[in-house]
Amino acid sequence: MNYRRRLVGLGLFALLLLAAGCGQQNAAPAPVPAPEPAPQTGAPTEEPSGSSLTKQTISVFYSDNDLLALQEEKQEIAFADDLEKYKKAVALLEAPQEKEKHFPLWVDFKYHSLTFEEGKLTIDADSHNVYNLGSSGEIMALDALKKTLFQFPEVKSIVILEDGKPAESLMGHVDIVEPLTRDEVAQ
Amino acid sequence: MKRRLLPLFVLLLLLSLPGWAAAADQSVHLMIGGQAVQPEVPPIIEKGRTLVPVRVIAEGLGASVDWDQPTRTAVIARGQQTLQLTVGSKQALLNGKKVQLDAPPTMKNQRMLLPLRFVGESLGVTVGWEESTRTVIANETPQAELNGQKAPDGWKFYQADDTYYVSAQAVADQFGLKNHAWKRPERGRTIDGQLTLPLTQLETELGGTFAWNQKKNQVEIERLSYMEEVEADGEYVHIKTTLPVGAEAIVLNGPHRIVLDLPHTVLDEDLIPQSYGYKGPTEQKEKANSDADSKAEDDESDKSDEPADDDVSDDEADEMAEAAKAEDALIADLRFSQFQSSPNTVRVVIELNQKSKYTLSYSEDGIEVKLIPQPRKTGYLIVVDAGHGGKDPGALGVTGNHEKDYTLAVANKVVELLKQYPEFQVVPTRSTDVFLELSERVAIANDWDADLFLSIHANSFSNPNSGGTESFYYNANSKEFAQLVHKHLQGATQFQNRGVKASGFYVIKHTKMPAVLTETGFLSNPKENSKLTSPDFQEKIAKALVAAIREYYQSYQ
Repeated sequence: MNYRRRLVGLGLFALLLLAAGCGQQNAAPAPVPAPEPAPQTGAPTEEPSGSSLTKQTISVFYSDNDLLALQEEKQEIAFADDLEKYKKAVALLEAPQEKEKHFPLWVDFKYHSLTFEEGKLTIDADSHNVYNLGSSGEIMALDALKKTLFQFPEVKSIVILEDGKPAESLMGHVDIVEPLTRDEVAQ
Repeated sequence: MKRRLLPLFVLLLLLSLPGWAAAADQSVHLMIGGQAVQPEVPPIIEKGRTLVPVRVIAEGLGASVDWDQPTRTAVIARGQQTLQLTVGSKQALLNGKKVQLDAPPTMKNQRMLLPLRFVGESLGVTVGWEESTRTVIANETPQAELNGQKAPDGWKFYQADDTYYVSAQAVADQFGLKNHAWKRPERGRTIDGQLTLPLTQLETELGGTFAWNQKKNQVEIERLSYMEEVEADGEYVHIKTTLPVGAEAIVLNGPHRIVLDLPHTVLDEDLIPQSYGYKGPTEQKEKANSDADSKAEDDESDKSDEPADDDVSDDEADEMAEAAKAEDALIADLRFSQFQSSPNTVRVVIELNQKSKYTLSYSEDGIEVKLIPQPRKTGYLIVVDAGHGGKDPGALGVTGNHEKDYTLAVANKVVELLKQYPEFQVVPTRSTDVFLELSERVAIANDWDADLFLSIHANSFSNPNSGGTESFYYNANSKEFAQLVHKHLQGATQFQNRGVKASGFYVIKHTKMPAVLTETGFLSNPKENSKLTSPDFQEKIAKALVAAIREYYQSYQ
């Protein structure tokens, strides 16, 4: 119920979440030219009950249409705590609003857990994920993840595991043995 | 005020040796100074501790005991050692210094009970427990010499009847004989859980002389092995010694060497002139000849024809001879020296033309080293890396095809084509559908000291319209190779030119030689995918990559 209301209130946001994984083939639903302003500002008042969700406009990063450069989108998220904030940011990596121009680098990304401790954000990825990217796509995907999560100043490093264990690489080109840090964010 | 109480009191020692607690109803025997002792008061076991009259120990070992009644303190003196113990106190004074006991001395029927091993060892007495006969063995610790030097502290000497039993493996270890198989262990005694053998039996089993000089109460062991011969024979090195010794081996690189140290070994007189660094008593020209094979002797006689007054030209001749031999022989050089004289150690250095593993096998008359040469680089070495594989399929093509199959097909073709050129040596990271970690791919290239590294991949993206050929390098030494690869590859694909880029992909970042990763085209692009899956097109790609390698080889080597 709650989910449906927010879907209405937030316009495209949740719809895109649902569509995630189908990729851009589903780009059909008539894109609202400028979805952000009206519906989103209206959303808070429509929140039911007294759940005190924090709202924040964040930057989320995608590829351009030819896998050449990262593209930034502003999207608003609502969350109860920091952990939910990170999870929603990660989820949005799959869901650009400008589907014609922006292509997600993370599609159907599943993880067992996302935890945060003393500046270290750990994502335990499912080893069955199929990323379907080449070498340049992998680097861009990791950069998109880093830029999206490092916008939160408290996040100092990102550790990616696979099924609870350290992994050498997610997609077979870039090593993730060492934690990802701010120093190495996109050239 | 102290009174000499030895004749008046019978002090019992509290025995805290392991294993004594179990059999409270069995008697305990004493062997002191090699003699079985029947004390007036038999040893008793109480609360897991066996108590022995101290007078017996004291008399047997020549210690004196002073008892001070008011302070309930005993002072036991033997030679330079004095040990002061107080009833009820875990603290004792050994030569005036505080030491801790694990159990305090106690009084029982007016007898002071002490932990025997603590007292014995404090006084420099060797104490042991033989479980099979339930016997406490205590005796003076004799001086011991091995080849004229003080024997290692780990050696224990137990006196029984009129011989010393010595911890056998500790002795064998000194000669490098690890886990030595003893022929007649039944002639020994197991004391404190370790096999000990009589000196005479050690002599029989190990050779040399093992003797007890009763007058000086000194055990004297002479066991020097003489190295009589070192011979290289194909993939073997035979080292002949008069007595068995075990070698300590070290493997070194640059150049590849296997270094063997033979403990308590000296060079046979005949070998000394051939040893490394040897300066003859009068003539310099015999210097530093290190080869032991017959070929070396020929070299030596050749050299004696020419004036040998110039050390430098002599060295050069040596080096040239070695370089000539280096062509096909596994062993480049074999040298040895009296590396240490205290204790005597002979060092044998096997210098190799290629990295080798080895096994050592021992016999009565020496050591056989079997060399196991590892494959070596013989030409301009190219490592061809088919991306992904096994559990990692890589990207998925639009017809359900997998990147790992494309990369393997092209890589295998590249390998076959490169093999046609005798100047090239080709090593694939994989030639079948197996998974390799990125670090394994890099290790193959770096371990082989490869000259080029080429990693073959195909691209994918969520936009099916994206397409093109791109090539990556990371280290500065790779840029020219990347440009050549890209020129040939893009020329063959005629796909959109996405250019040459620098990016830190693992396999091109951590390889030391010029290294390139290519993305031939997009498996997610239907047009490109249909070409990439065609064997003819794959052959064309492979030829283009080989042409790039050939051009690089001709331009930059």
